[in-house]
Amino acid sequence: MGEVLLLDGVWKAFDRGRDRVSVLEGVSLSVAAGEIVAVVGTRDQGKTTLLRVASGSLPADRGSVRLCDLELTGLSDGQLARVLRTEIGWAARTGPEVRVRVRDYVELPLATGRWLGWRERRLRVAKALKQLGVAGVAELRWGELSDWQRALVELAQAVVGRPRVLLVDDVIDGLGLGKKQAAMEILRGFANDLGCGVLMAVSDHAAALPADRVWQLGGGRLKLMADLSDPDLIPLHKASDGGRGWLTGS
Amino acid sequence: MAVLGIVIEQPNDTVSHIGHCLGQRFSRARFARSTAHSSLPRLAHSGRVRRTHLERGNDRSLDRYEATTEGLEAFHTWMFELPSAMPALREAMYGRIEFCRPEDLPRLIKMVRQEEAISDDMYRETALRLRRQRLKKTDSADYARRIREVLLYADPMHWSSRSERYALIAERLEEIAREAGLTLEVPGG
Repeated sequence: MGEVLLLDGVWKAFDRGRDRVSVLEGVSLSVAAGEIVAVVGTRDQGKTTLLRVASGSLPADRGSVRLCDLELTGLSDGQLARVLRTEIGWAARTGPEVRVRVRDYVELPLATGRWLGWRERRLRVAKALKQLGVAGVAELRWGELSDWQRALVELAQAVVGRPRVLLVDDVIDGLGLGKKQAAMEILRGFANDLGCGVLMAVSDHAAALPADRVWQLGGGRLKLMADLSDPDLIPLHKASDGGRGWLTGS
Repeated sequence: MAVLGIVIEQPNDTVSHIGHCLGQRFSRARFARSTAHSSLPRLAHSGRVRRTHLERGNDRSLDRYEATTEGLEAFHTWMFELPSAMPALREAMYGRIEFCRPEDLPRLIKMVRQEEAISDDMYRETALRLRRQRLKKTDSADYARRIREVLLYADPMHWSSRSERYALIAERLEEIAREAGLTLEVPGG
């Protein structure tokens, strides 16, 4: 399958007072359509920076970031905003910054700058929430949700626009092993049925295990820990209850 | 205790087969092939097992054993004994770091990096093994497989954390070596 995301020799540093702190040092990785790639690192190792650079929302100091055939580093703000709305789904633990209902939060990627009728938007939101098993929380607010419901709502919000690349920042961390497995099954379903590439940042290896490739981020550099995309392996969704027609079914 | 556990599970099995099971069930422990052969006479001597069949000749691999009441009690005590003390960490590398002289640093750093690389390889292997296992249909009634899967999860965690630990040790040692003006060997060189 073709690469949907390619980072090549990416460098990023920040000014911290008088110091210049290097966070990414020549980082290269790729994510193919239908593939899950995990980046494992402890806090403050630059995982979120890596994802933000991958999304184009944070410009790299050096190096190339390509989304399919599009070089993100050279885009204008307007072009980049459009790419972020239409091609990239972002799931983080932060939730909405304002006090909104879950269904409005999930609808945000559809409501900004894209022509979709009100009815169509609501249908897609309802479908996303239903397929993730959280239709019942649509009228609730963020503060009323459990950690697991928040993770599911974040994922619904990230895929409702049917992105080509899904960036998942620490959403799975802190969940129990059973929930981690369940979340990975969901991501596997997205990767398979939507054909999107998934790049996820996690802080422990337990969350990364079902990924196709596992990278360790430390000292600004990536180390390939495991490439599990063995052609002899049966895709996970075929052996499980996955493949539930994520958002693509009628 | 592993040998005793297998004898309890499989009474009157041959020494040879118990040795085979030991290797299969506890592959991570890398028991020597002779472990069952040497342990069972010792367990018999201490009264925890008794020999139920003595094969003619000098080959003891076809002898058979079963657990005694004392053996069963010892096993159950071990099985459910609550941890009461800090486990001792007796890793050779810790000793080497303790005895390391400044001039030894470059070689020690190389060894630590090798340990890290070995841990990385083991992580890869165990993660793949886990993944293959996870891809098999899991029957909720298959208790033995599900129990084994618990350990399959633990293995990659063990090796990833070991790799991280050695990477950290290497970085600190490299820092000390640099400050001491020592020339470090090229990793892998």
